Amino acid sequence: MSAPGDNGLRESLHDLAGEVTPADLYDRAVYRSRRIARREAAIGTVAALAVLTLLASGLWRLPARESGHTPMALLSSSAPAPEPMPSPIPSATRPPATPEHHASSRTTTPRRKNQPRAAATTATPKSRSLADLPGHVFYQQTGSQPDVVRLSPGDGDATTVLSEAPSAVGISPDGSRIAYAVGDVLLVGETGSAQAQPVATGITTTAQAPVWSPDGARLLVATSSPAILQVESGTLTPLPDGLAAGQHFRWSGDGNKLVYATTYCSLKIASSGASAVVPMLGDRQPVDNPDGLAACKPTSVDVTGGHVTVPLQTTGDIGTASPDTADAVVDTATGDLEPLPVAGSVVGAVFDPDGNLLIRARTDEGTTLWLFSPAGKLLVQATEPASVSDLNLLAYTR
Amino acid sequence: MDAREADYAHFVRTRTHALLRSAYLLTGDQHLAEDLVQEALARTHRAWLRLEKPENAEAYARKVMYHAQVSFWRRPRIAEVLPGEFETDPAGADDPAEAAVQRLTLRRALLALSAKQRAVIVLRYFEDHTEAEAAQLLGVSVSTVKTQTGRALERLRTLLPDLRVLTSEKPR
Repeated sequence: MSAPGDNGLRESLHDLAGEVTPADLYDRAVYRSRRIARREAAIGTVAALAVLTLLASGLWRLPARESGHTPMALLSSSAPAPEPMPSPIPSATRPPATPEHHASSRTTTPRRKNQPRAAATTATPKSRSLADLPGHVFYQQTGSQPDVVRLSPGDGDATTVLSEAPSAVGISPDGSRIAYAVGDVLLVGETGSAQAQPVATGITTTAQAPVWSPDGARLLVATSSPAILQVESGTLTPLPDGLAAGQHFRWSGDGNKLVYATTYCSLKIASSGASAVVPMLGDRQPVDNPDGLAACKPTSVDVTGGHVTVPLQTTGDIGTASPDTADAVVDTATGDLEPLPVAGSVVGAVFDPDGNLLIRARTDEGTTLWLFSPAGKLLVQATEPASVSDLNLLAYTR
Repeated sequence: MDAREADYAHFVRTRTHALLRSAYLLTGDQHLAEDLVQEALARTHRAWLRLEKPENAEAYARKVMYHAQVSFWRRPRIAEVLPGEFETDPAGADDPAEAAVQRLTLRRALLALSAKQRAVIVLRYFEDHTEAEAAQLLGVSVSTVKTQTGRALERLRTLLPDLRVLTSEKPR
């Protein structure tokens, strides 16, 4: 054919297209196809129910001049059905007692844009004492160069462990070490100690805070691309090419999976060299992501990679700075937001390396820490000390 | 796996890379390209029974892919390229890495185009479609394709003044 262009552009395009990495998309395509099928079936079912409801209500007997409104009613009623309902991860030990509580649950309330659900609960915690909260809770100030603060629930003591952090920080799973960068030099020190040792150079932290492996032996960092650093030896091993464009990687508690964000605020989960997309979030198709939800920065993952905490954002936020503190829990298999059975507004959520979920929720009375076991049992519900009320939740460690 | 599913699997595994190459030019990103092709293949899977011949499948998938891009056109654009990123170093012309640098520069220049302009460039100069074919694939008029092509080439010439990709005229 005789296009009005030139061979230079043509050849350059072919050259550029050669950069793409081959991928086997069969499983992903079939999975996506089945989701489309389920959605179409749900829409069809709801539409049919709407017609039956309309017939049963007698509205079909309205005068002719009013019947023109019927298609609008049908259209409204045939909006996409709610997603299939997974069981909430932190299930309360007793179901909500009042109808109002049920009304706030996922089974009856459609997803609200940019608003994690916080289902009220009447569950009885095993303890209401902060001293029974195991491990350490880490916070940081807002703004640039924040102080990092450790709350030791045993004595309620809040201690600044790093003043004016020069970069994003990573707290080790046992809470004993902290990693951060000064310039492009990665430092690791004991939390609370002024001493820190350089362990690597050429590190950037904008798109990847240093993240500790669950065993505390490795750090996932970003150099020119994401890489894994053996802390003892200083050996850097780049992640496979297919993960090179990922950012904000986080390890699952069992160390077998990595959850990360793409530049367009979708989540992906990688294991054994294969990478799968977490559905919906970041999806630009309104039919698949009607609320335009996005997740630009995962902050923690449960033991198996089944759930991840994120600051919930919208596709309109893509390209803007993401909050550092998560306020939602996402099911990585479905992309659905999990209802969080706590009272108040969720201002922080994070998994520890053992899969316990710590939620920070605020009410008019103050801020409360809720700790759920991996099985969803409410272990501790305790008032947070006022000394950390102005800080953001950063990590929860052993 | 029944015969139809086997045919579909064969189609996916033999044609995915070709689709990914186009999608990469459309999106400028490996992950976005995979997502775009995944969507096209999923829609093709849904339509597999209606596609009378497997030969039609790729055309269908490509059409879905471009239409998925069309749906992006109405969305606010994100600043993907910063001013000053197109500066090229004439001294590097003899550098062995020049080809890699040119690829990077061209990718950034393509990302500076609107999605619609990028689509017509890929259809016309990568997939070698005629203006009429491109119009039919995109569901727009031929004049729209002409207009968008002209604007895209003009923009590329502005962004890439030193690159020979747009200066070595060799009509086909």
